[in-house]
This record gives sequence, structure tokens and C-alpha cells, in this order.
Amino acid sequence: MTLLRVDGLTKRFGGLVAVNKVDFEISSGSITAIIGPNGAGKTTLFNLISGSSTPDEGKVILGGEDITGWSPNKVAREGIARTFQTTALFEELPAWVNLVIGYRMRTRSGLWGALLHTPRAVREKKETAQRVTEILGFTGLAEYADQPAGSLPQEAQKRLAIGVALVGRPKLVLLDEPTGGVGLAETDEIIELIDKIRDSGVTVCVIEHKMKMITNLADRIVVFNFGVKIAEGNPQEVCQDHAVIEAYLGECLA
Amino acid sequence: MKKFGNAGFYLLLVGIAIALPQLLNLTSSGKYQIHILTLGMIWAIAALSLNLILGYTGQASLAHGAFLGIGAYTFGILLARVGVNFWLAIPLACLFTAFLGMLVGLPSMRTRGPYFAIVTLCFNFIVFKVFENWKWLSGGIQGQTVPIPSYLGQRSVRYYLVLAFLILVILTERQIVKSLLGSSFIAIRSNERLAEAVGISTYRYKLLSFTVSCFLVGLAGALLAMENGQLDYTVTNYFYSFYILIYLLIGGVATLSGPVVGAVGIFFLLDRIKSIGEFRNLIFGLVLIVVIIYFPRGIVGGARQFWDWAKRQYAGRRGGVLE
Repeated sequence: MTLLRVDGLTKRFGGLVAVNKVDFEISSGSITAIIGPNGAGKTTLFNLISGSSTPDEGKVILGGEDITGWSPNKVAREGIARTFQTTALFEELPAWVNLVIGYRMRTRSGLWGALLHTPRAVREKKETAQRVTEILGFTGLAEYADQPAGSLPQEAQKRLAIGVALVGRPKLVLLDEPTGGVGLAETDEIIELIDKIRDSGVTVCVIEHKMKMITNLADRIVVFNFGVKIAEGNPQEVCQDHAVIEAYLGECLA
Repeated sequence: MKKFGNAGFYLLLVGIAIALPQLLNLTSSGKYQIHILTLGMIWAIAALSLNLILGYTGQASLAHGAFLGIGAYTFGILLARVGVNFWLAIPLACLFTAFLGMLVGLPSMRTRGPYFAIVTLCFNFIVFKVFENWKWLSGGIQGQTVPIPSYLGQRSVRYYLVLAFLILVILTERQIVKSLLGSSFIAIRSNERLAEAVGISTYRYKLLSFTVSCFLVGLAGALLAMENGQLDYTVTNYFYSFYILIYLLIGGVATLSGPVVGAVGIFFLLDRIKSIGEFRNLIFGLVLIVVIIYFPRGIVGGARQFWDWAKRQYAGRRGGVLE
């Protein structure tokens, strides 16, 4: 079943076409990898899907609903969570508070709840605490719960950022280079985590450079170069694709 | 255990605050000090209001002087010209200030960072000029008298009233920042882009925070009008925006006790050195520079750092002996 469909998506920055008439689909419960050389338009594509930038042409459709041009916060509440290439966290706040904030989109208590301690506010606080504990366990961050997010080791920060994306129960998570700047041993832990995310029923779309990792992990690979989709398929197909080999100088065969 | 210790400490502070006017009433110069302390607490309410939008939501409003004046004038005009009851005039002044704050926030919250500060400063300047020139509104040089009920004629009664409001404001702000709503505000301060990406409508929450903040500064304005019994257009001056900001920064931004310590403490000290005239602003400026460079979280933040450091030193030594 198709969860997300991208239809003729185009984004221009002045004369540069960063994303050029891109079509692809992400099916529910899969891991889709988006690969391509630097400047191929991968992050721009994520920005277009998550609403932080508006496409010039084309459509983004999530589960049958056209979400093109929605604001990022609305897209997030609709069920698309994302992480950023340069790990974004609420750095001075403890790890668990980061997760509380991530779950805010599923709680509704506002000013009156805060001032009057309404039953809903109390219930939602409990519910939040439960969900936060769950995610701390899921991402293996329980030991860091009380530490400021910015003081965590690089790899733990990456996992926390993924946790912040997951805590609001998204349908789809977009991970922008989740293993960027992380050592080899820790890369394996993050791959395991991504596998676990898929097994928990959340669809994953991941931007990556590490080809070995991708060919093992992804169900489907979409390859970009200069803003254009040049190939798409399962890992085997893509690795044998002539255009891909050319773009990567045979890296994935090595 | 620690929780009870804290509660005890706060109760002690409140006890001192309650006892203080009784002691000051014994001397003739003490009566004037009651007035100064009352004004200090009113500025503390103003600093707490700015704390919500600047300290917890990360948006530097430089229009709080204007909203203070608007609250004060709304209150004064309701009492003197409309003849509204005192206890009704206070919430009405707050609500009207909050409403205007929301109107100002609607366009200006679309801007970010320093632009918001500039837009609000411009707004304050406009309000100041309007009050300066619309004499039918501000009463010109003569200003606006604020008739208060006779039972508020005594200084110490007004002191207690302001103290009660100050405690109420502190508790309100505490409730807000500890709630889920508060986590949304703090998220915006910490990383606005990420807050938006995790589903927080940053515009909506910034607007809410600003509106509540204006409500509170409206209260400070009304109480200022009550305490002084007299208003003129200078109450909307943008200087006050900076004064409130400085009380907050020196006391400790994003803490609950900081604005109170900063406003009451500095207002009191400034009054003590009134004899040196405008030079006191020079001292003020130097203190501000030192605090911002060495204690980014103000006096209260600095004191906490020192306390933690002292605890570590002590714990370290004791641990060494035991081992």
C-alpha cells in the first residue's frame, strides 16, 4: 500500500533546479533509501515533503491527502516526522524534555490546562511520561535521560534526534543522514535502530551516503543526481544500473 | 525532604515580606521605603511578564513599556472617567492590554529574532508619541489622576495588595512553565525550526505567550497607576521597556526568582543612590555589562552556580575523608 506519493515535484532556486519533476512512492512498512552525490537535491526533497519549503510544481500526497504547501507543524501532526542533517536538538534541555516536546503534537492541553490543572492536563501529563519512558527504552537512552541533550555523545544525540521524531507516533519518518559523523561501531547501532523502527510499524525514508549500509538495510532505493531521479528499484537492481554506476564511479560494486 | 525545605524557605520569604511594613512603619523614613518596595514589586511583575515571552519563549519584546503604559492608562481612565469599580477595572485593564498585545503580535510574530525586537521597539515609540500628542487621551502635562478607594489610602495596604498580586503572578508563571504548554514555549526558545518540525505551531504559541505576557504587564501598569495615584504620558516611554529588560537580565532570565530579585533589588538600590543623579545610570550600565558577560543567567543563575560549586567542593572533601 502506498503511504506517500510524490508527483512531479519541482523546486527552483533562481536558475538552479534543485529538484526536477521527481516522482516516486513510498509503500507502508518499508525502508526507502534516497541516495545521490552531494548537491543532488536529497535534502531539498525532504524539505519539500516535510513542508519547510514549498515546491514550485508538483504534489506531495500522504495516504490519499494532498499535503503540498502545508506548514511544517501541520505536516508533522499529519504523521511525517523528520530529523536534520546537522543533528537538531533542544540542546540545553534534558534528553527526556526533548521527548516531552516531541510528544506535544499529540497532547492538546493549553493555557487553561496549565492554570487550572484540568483533568485532561493531568491525564495528558501522565500519558506523555509513559510515552517518553517507552521511547527512552526503544532508543536505549534511559541512562542519559536527565542530561542536557547537547552534552550527550555524538551517537547518542543522533539516536535522541530519532527518538524526538518517533515519540509523536508518526506514520513516516524522514531520516537525513542518521549516521553522518558517527564511527563505524556506532553506525551499526543506528542501523539496528532503523530496523527496529520499521519492525514497530513505522515507515522509514532515509538519506544516506554509506552504500554498504544502504544495500543491506533498504527495501527500495531511489537514486538522485542533479535534482533528477536517475534510478529506482531494489538494492540489486540499482547497483547494476548503468547510470548509477556512472554517478558513483562504481562505488557500490567495490 | 528537599521539597519541604524549599517550601519552608519560600514561606520564610513571604513571612519577611509580610512583616516588613510593620517594621518600617515604626520610623518616619521607613514609610517612604514601603512605597519604594511596593514600586519594586510592581516592576517585578513587569519583569516576570517579560520573562515569559523573552526568558521562556525567546522573543525579545521591547514594547513592554508601551503595554505597561496602556495598562496603567486603561485602569486610570476606567476609574476616573468611566467610574468603573476598582476590582473590575484591574481585570479589564489586563484584558484590554492583552487584546492590544495580541493585535500587535498578529503581524509582528511573523518576524524572527532581532526583527521582532525592532518591530516592538517601533511600536513602543509610536505609542509614546501618540500619548504625548493626544492630550484628550493622556491628559497632557497635567496627566490623569487615578482615584482609588479610600481603604487603599494607606501605604501598607497597597503594599500587601501588590505583594498578593506578585505572589499570584509568580505562581501563575510557575504553573505555565512547568506545564506541557510551557514545554512548547521553551521549545521555541531553544530551537524554533525543530519545534516547528515536531508539530508545534510556533506562530500560535508565540502569539499566546505574548498575549499572556501583555496581560501580566497590564496588571503591573494598573498597579503602578494605583500606587502613584497619578499618570502622565511618560509612563508609556520606551525607556521603561529597557528598564524592565535590565531588571530581568540582571536578576536572571528564565528563572522565577530572578525577575523579583532584579526588579526589587535594583529599584531599591537605585533609589538609595538617587543623590548622584544621572550618574547612577552609568553604574547601572557597568553592572549590566559585568552581569551579562560573567553571569548570563543573572544574579540568581550566578548564585545557583556558586551553590552547586560549593556543594561539589564540600561533597568532594567529605568523600575524600571517608575513603
